[in-house]
Amino acid sequence: MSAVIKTLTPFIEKSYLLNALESIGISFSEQGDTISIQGIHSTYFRKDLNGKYKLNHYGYNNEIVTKLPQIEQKYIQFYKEHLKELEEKRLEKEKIRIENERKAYIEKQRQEIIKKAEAKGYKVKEKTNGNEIQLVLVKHTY
Amino acid sequence: MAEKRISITIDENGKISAKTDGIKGEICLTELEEIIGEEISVMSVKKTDEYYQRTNHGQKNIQKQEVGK
Repeated sequence: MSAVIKTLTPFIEKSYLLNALESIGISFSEQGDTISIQGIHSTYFRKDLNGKYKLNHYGYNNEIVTKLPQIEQKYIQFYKEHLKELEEKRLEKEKIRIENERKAYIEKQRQEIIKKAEAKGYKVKEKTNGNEIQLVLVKHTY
Repeated sequence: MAEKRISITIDENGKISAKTDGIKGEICLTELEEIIGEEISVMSVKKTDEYYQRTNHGQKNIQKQEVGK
């Protein structure tokens, strides 16, 4: 005989669990690592030794048990949304870093050209055209 | 009074285009290299008529070589 079991997604991150409860209209109160469900006697989520929030309740007819799949679904949804948000922030930071690197390189190029041109006796006129830098170096000889 | 003019454009990606005016002979390329930097990767060089014109300085060098033959 064989068996297949499925466990509930472990509720590790408190903020996702709170959001999940709130989004499906379950009232709760927090006290440290305990999230008490309001309106249902002695029903609460508490962080266990493994670091996940485990539901504690009396009896299996408890209303909250029937809502666990819904809570789980919302928990996963908030988790994925947060991951996406973090990824977007990371990408934005990376984009800014690359842009700054490019701008710094161009600025260095500009400064070096001007420095070398002036050292060779050129007068430098500069203007910008959109994102382009235009330098006109002029030297008069007799 | 002669005017040497170098027009340089640096685009948003750091790509450089440069053009010389009033600098005759091969020295125009040397002048550009010295200003822009020899370490840059040149993709193409288009030589203008002025490139093929002899400078006074260049003519002297050629004469000296001929005398030394």
